[in-house]
Amino acid sequence: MNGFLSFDLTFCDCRDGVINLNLKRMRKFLQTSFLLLLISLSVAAQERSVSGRVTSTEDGSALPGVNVVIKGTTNGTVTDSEGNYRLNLPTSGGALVFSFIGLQTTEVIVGDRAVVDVSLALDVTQLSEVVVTALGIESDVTKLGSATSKIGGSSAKESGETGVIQGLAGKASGVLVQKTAGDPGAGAYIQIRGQSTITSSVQPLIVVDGVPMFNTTAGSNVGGVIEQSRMNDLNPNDIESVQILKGASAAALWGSRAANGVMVITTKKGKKGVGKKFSVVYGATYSVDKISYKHDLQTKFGQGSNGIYSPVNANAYGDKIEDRSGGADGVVNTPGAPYFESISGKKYYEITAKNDRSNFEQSNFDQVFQDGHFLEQNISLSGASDNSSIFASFSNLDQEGIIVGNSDYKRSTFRINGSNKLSDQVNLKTNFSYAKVKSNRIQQGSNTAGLYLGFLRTPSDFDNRDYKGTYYNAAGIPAFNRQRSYRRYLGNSLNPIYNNPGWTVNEQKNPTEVDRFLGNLELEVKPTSWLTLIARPGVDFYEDRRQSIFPIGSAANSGNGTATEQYLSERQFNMDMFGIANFKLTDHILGTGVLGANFNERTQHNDGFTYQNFILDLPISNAANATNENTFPFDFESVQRTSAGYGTLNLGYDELLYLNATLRVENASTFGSGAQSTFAYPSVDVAFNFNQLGALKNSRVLSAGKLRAAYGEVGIQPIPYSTLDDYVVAVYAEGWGPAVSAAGYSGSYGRSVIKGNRSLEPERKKEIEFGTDLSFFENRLSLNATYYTNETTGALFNVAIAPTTGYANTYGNAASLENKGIELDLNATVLKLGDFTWDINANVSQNRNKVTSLSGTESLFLAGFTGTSSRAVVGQPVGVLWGGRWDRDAAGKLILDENGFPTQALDEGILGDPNPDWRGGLGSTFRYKGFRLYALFETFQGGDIWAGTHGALYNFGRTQQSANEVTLSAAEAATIVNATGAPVTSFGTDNGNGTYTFRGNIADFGGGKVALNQAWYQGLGGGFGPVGEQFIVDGSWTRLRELTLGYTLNGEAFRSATKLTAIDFTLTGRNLAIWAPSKDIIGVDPETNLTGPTNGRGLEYFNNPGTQSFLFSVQITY
Amino acid sequence: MKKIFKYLLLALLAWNMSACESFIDDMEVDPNNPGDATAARMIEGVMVADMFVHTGDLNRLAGMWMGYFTGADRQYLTLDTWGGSVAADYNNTWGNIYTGVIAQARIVQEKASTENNLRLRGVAKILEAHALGTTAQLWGDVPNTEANNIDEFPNPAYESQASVYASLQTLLNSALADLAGVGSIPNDIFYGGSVANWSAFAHSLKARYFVHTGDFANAETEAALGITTLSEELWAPFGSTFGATFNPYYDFMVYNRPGYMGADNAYAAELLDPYDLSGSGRSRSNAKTNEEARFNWNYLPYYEIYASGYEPNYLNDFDWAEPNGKFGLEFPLYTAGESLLIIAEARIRANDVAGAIAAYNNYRTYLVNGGGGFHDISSAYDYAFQYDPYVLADFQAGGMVNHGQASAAEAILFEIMEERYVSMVGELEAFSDWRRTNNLIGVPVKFGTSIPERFLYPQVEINTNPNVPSPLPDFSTPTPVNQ
Repeated sequence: MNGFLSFDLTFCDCRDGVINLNLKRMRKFLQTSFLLLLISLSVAAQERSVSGRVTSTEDGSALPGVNVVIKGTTNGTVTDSEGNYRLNLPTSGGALVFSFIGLQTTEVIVGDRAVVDVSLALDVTQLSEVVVTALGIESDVTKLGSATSKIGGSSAKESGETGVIQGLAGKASGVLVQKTAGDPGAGAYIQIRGQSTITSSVQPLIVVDGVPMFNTTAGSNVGGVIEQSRMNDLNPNDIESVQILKGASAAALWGSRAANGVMVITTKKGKKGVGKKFSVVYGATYSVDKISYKHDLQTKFGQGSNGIYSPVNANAYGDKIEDRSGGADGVVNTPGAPYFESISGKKYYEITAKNDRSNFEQSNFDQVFQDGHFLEQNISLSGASDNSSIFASFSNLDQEGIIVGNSDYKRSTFRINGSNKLSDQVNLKTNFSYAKVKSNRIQQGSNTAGLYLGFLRTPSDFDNRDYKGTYYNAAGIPAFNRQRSYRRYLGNSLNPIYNNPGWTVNEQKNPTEVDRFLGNLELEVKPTSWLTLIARPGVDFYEDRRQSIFPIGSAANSGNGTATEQYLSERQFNMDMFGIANFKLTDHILGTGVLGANFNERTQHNDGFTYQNFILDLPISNAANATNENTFPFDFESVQRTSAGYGTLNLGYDELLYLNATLRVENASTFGSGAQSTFAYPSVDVAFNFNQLGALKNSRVLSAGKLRAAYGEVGIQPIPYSTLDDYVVAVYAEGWGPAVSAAGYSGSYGRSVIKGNRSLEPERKKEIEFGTDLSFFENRLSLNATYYTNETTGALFNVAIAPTTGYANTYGNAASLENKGIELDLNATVLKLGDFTWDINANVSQNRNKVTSLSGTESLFLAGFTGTSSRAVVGQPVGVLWGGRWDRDAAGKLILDENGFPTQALDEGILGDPNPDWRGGLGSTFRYKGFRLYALFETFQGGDIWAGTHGALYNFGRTQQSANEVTLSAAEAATIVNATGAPVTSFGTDNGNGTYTFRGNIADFGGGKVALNQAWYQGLGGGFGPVGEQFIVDGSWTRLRELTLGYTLNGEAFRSATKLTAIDFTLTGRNLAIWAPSKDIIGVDPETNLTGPTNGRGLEYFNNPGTQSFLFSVQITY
Repeated sequence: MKKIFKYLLLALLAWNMSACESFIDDMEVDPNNPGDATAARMIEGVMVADMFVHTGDLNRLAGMWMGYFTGADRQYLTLDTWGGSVAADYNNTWGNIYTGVIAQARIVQEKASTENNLRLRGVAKILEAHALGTTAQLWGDVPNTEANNIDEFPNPAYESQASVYASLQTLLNSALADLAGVGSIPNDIFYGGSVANWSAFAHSLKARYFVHTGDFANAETEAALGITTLSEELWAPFGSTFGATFNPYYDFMVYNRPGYMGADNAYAAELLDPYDLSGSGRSRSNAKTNEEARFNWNYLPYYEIYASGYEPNYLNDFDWAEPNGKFGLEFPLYTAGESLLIIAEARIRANDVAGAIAAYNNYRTYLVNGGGGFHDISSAYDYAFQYDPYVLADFQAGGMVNHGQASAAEAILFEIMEERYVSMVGELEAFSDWRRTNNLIGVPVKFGTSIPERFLYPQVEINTNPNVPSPLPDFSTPTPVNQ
């Protein structure tokens, strides 16, 4: 009986304590305890007996302790340690009900059988109810008063994304995950419940096995390369689960680092194989990636301006290609004429007459785009004995991007997770991983040396393929390694103005190489039965060595060559020490208390140098390839520390009511010395499981019902070294690029334009949420709903100060903003017919954000350009698009100029809102025997995007719309004027029959018809004009994010024949279909952002294209 | 065993709690940047900022609007006229003026006072006066006494343009007094520490500001005391390092934004062009004047390297192995020519026709004897120049420099102003001339019917300083001195 009692107590601990409930552990308890239970059961003799074995569908292992009940009676038994049972039935027929917590309850008709073997499948709904708290401790969801979302590791892995975060897109309500580009290794933007800060990072705190992990994306800007996010260093195959703590209450234990929520990632632990002490899993995935969207460009008109061909002009406003005579171009190829000889041997001479009607749209595309692909291989070993467990994995990913040339991503990782129970009191766990990432990237964005800038602006009658060669001048003197671009088709200048895309992808180099270590140790001591003490030191470290080399002849630095080499590293040391005590107040009230301390130190280094005007025409990584005068070193370092004490108290009244409270008291080195030194972050939540009330307890309809309420406070730390005035090197710059620096003379310092602020405090976010979790019909239908409202006060930003004060800004706690939103999650088993099941998982969320104060700043720049930017504006959602508008009268009517064209307003204003009205995900899974089909749709509705590329392409005459032709009657042609007031008769083509045709469009802005032609598109009507308003479009989209067909071979016959446990085959399609109203205008996947995972949203300007993928993977489990 | 573990860990926890405070102490000081600098190590930064604001984007905007340059590509197509310019275009330079020049110059003044280096203080005052005078001229009412004192004046008041000009004269007087005192001028990239040259520059600024306010008598006096020889001229010492010492024009036109700005059909180019490449027939060369050298120094004759038609001459020795064009390397901030022309203008405005002609001929002699910037290119390529003295008859009706004016006095004023226009291509002072004379010389008006009377108050100031003038003046509102 001692054993029985101990089981009972353990069971209570599991159900009611905070810690360490999980199925596997329970199964183990059951395994040892139920033998005793069995002995104590008396078995009545009956006429007929049925026996059998109960196994797990997941891995075929025996299931001890499963309840086996004769349907409609209370008679039954439980399975033994081998999963066997024997039961006597009163008569023939009847049915048995097999049930076990965490597994699907299964009913079997016995018929005349004497042996009934059953395998029980995991009950996904129930399984997901084991959640991980902010401290990395497992708990039961019924006890939580706040909303969390849990996503299984396999779900992230199967998405076909190479990064963990990207694989979560669309799978949880209130969590927005957006990949920033299709480039290999591209970072992703994560936003939980709306943006609750203005300029501080909006990315959640990532905690892996209890230790914070950097998710840095360093260096995202309007130009440059697409940067990786350091989250991508995790091997998705190693992930057991991702728990998203969305609310302030759940995250409060992380204090001033938790305002954006916390993602708690748990990696896999060693476990026994099926009938073995260990298992080995090998998986391989091959993916083919394609460009998902292309810009739709005109091919009617050639290079030139005002209808006249010119081989050096920036524009595609030249002659009509079909009107050319055809045949070879007229060139000057007399002896002594200058020419260009490409590396392929082809010679190009000065063009005097353009006759050729060829269109190079396709070959120019094929020059730089291809089908990308990757191969990922992963092998892991998992094993366990009674006192220890080990999980080890190795993975390798080798990806070639959709862009030809230097675009790839290689990642190798290994991991060892182990635990060892040294004694009954002491348990030691360790998790360690290492990743090596090597990648080559392509320059993009607002960047004359970037891919799309040169590619999309190239007129369709220019052949980009011969991009490199030798220029011979009139004296026959060669200039080697010259770039041939559409603005410099003879390569007769070092500066090509825009890069030929071939040069961008092949000649420029942007490698990065990362080493990443992540490890922690956890010592768990149980001095008494009610107390557990845990010490958990952990370290995260990476070094990122980057280069950007623009050889001589690149558009950067006027063709003279420039390079930057950079060493970025971050190190985080984190130590948690806490004790957990379980106690019992009354028979009905059980409690758990935690008291602990946290120390955290983060250091950052960014050292490197830029060198330019290369001495030798070699793209080598060597700072000596430039004079001292042209070498610029830089260094940056920072250290920030946080120390905190915390406590939590959880009380449970039976299984009906739970109360959880936490308090973190914290101090950090980034707080100003003039501010209060410690800050407290309280949270409290209540869970009321009303299904435990008498009448509802045995309801056949309601399986679980909970009402919850939570309040919490979290924060964001200031950036380091903002509390004092600095003196900085006297450097002055303007928006167009020119800059001067005293470092070029004898060196001089000036007071920084950023005013130090001694009273810096953390930003504070306070959130209240209410919600309910309901499930019906034995969990076949479950619904979770949450309403939240939060307010961030003291949001930090560089408050603009009138420059006349001598400062440009000061970093201070000056803004406030709020979010309100609802989140709905629905899970349902729609159909269950024999072996066929159809499950649906849906989520919908809506968030309303509003900036409530900017302390007098009218609008705050977050990211973008002088003309159009993403900003914070009082009374508006953070991130609104801002820029030049049309001038309107009080009634909102356009104010027209004397020609009938709109004019621009003198001041800038709001143009659009990139935040969605609502978002949703809909997943549908069909299972039949070993087959499974999963489809995930995701939608993003109502957010605006600035189609910056489209606007710029109007300027260059490359949009389809700009190549329209309009024919007017003589009368109309004489009266309709263009933007300069010239009538169509003066620039249109006289058709000889009285009518006139011109290239462009007719519009009416309210003052009668006007002609939009080159004059308009290169002025106010184009992307380089001051009016950004006209290029704001609806950025909504709906996509088939993921489509997966899987088949698992794990039948008994298969297993005994092969000695393998299972083989899984999976076919996955990613982004197979995208529906977007702006498709023809944006020209790239609207899930894009020029400035990567920064706070500025909704910007598109020559962004590298997105991808769709087709994947095949196989996984073999031994 | 159990007890040992328990007490050990509890003790550890307690120790760590008490260690909280010391763990985060003394980490406020930025390891990347110093917290202070000496006046001697700040003054060069003020000079760098001052020359940058006088050669940067404001120069290009004004230059396009008044016929020096032509916006040729992308955003510069719309910025080619003030019709395409908005308040945000002025944020950058305004910020550099106040935070880069004026604020730092005042800090240097304070530190120099403490160090009793009066001469250094004087130089800081002159630099402050240079930037503030330009600001008052371009915008009218601007913050002055309440500027750069954030603790007392978080929203600096806008002072009347007249009072700013008055205080500039006082400031320059006190600078002159300081220069006569003790101390030295270290790290001087403008004048190598020459007190005499700084004094000349101070007098010249006084002269310029008297011109702005229409006080020509005082202008003539100060001009005579100011920069009158080549060795006193102030040229921004730009060099050959991209991102550090480049002339911003060169940086813009060749490195950062090639092709954005040319000078296709630019009025000044047509006036100077003795070859009449654009066919405008506007060449101002005559029997006594040959502008070939000066034209080639200012403009490239249809080389069309980045833009069509004329381009500003951005060629230089270090990148192109060519003689420096006006926009390739060093750039004038104050020349002896400007002083000499102020004297000539002051005399004609005082109706001293003979004195004005003499002063103007004195200026033409300066051009012949090495002034005007074009002599290097002239000797490299044998480009001709000729600036013979004019006589009264040349200005009278039918004379070679009378363009239909009723009197010789009017013709002389026109000639002086047109000479100022072509001698200051790309310089901000020319924008002042254009507006204070209400386009006397008839530069074609590119947008609407009248010339722009000012720059717009910057968006950043509108956003942050409630004291910014209201209603906001637009391009049609002259600044008070021009009203």
